[in-house]
Amino acid sequence: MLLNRINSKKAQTAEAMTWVVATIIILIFTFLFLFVVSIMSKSKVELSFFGSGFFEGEDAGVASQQMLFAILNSKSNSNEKEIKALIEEAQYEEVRQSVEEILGKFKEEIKCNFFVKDLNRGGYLVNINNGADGERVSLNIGQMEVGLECSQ
Amino acid sequence: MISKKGDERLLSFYWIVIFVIVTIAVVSAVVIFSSAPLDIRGIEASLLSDSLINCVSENGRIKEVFYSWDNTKSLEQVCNLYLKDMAYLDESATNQYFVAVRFEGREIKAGNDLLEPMCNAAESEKNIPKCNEKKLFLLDKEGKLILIKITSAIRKIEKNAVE
Amino acid sequence: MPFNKLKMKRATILISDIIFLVLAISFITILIVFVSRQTSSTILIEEQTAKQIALALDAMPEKTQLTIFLGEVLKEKKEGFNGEIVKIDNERNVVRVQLEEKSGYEYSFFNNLFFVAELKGEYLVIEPR
Repeated sequence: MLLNRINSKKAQTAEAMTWVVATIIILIFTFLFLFVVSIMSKSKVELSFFGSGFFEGEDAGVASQQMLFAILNSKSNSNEKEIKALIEEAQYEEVRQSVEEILGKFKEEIKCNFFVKDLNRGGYLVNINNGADGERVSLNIGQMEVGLECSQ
Repeated sequence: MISKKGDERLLSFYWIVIFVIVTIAVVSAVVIFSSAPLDIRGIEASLLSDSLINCVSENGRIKEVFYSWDNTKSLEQVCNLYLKDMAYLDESATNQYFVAVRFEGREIKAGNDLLEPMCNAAESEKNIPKCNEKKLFLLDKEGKLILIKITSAIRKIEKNAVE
Repeated sequence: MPFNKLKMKRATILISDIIFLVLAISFITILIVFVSRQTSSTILIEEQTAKQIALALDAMPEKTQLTIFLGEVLKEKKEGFNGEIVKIDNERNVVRVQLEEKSGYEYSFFNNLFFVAELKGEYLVIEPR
């Protein structure tokens, strides 16, 4: 009789433990859910605006565009020709050196990648990679695509 | 038999408790999410900086007008900006924006000066403006590449950060 | 006798099951109604739309035309409201979105171009002049 009583009490305790554990698990999931929602509410703007494809991101590359023009219109140190003209004349080594010098001068403040790509053959004639990660802008000069991508 | 009925009652009570907890969780989640303000000032400040970049530069060069700047000119006029928030019905309408263009030791500003120092305040502080700084290099008058910094700040706290 | 007891037992279980189910369904229905009402509250939609349009105006260069699909927003317009849903006030540089009487949300934009907006069906067409 006593054994039965003890066993049934053990069984009851075990059963009660199952419920307690189940309740704890439910509570944990509930709090996790609330936590996730509060994190999501902080990025509410991204969720409602970016999801609709309305704004692709904060930086539309306006700065990169002007910097690309600035590079192309600036003169190479060695022969006073504009970089744009050097590209047209296929002097790619000169272009690479000049642009590397320019980007090096501002590298503390701005990181940029620069390239000149042959649209016909698909290869890169100049490819300076400084690890920048931003909006890429490009334009065509003859059969070449010239591009810049900057991040701050 | 009695204990079985008792078990059933306990079970029903337990389920009711769980339901109530889940309901409270769902309701709280919806209230948290929908009452969180839609803060667009980050994007707005970035767009304001972009507007200034488009105003200051043309084909990679700094426009002449920025070299001959004087008190008769204003950024609002030259860049076609309206830096007053008329959704405010009192004089705080003029305090919601700040913009600055800096290069070669020059500084051209417009709007509420008091916003800029608050830009670097900790994120956790309430009632601080949202700021944006963009740096780029452009050709100056002499064809030399120089660094320009564009700063913009937007306050508009009541419509973006107050719950 | 035992058979009767069994029948009673079954009937008891069924009633409590039904009560349980009814409660469960009521709770879930209330939750669903509450969630859908909260997430599509008019004020929230007015705010979201006004801010989206204000940002679009800020980003707009000259000589471009912007078309925004407002189908979902127009569905939220309350019956009996015949006012302008989207109004661009060029004097105050403010966008106002209103979906019902005694409501409305305003947000300002800094782009000082003169904008003209026209609702063509479900599309809002905006042009700077």
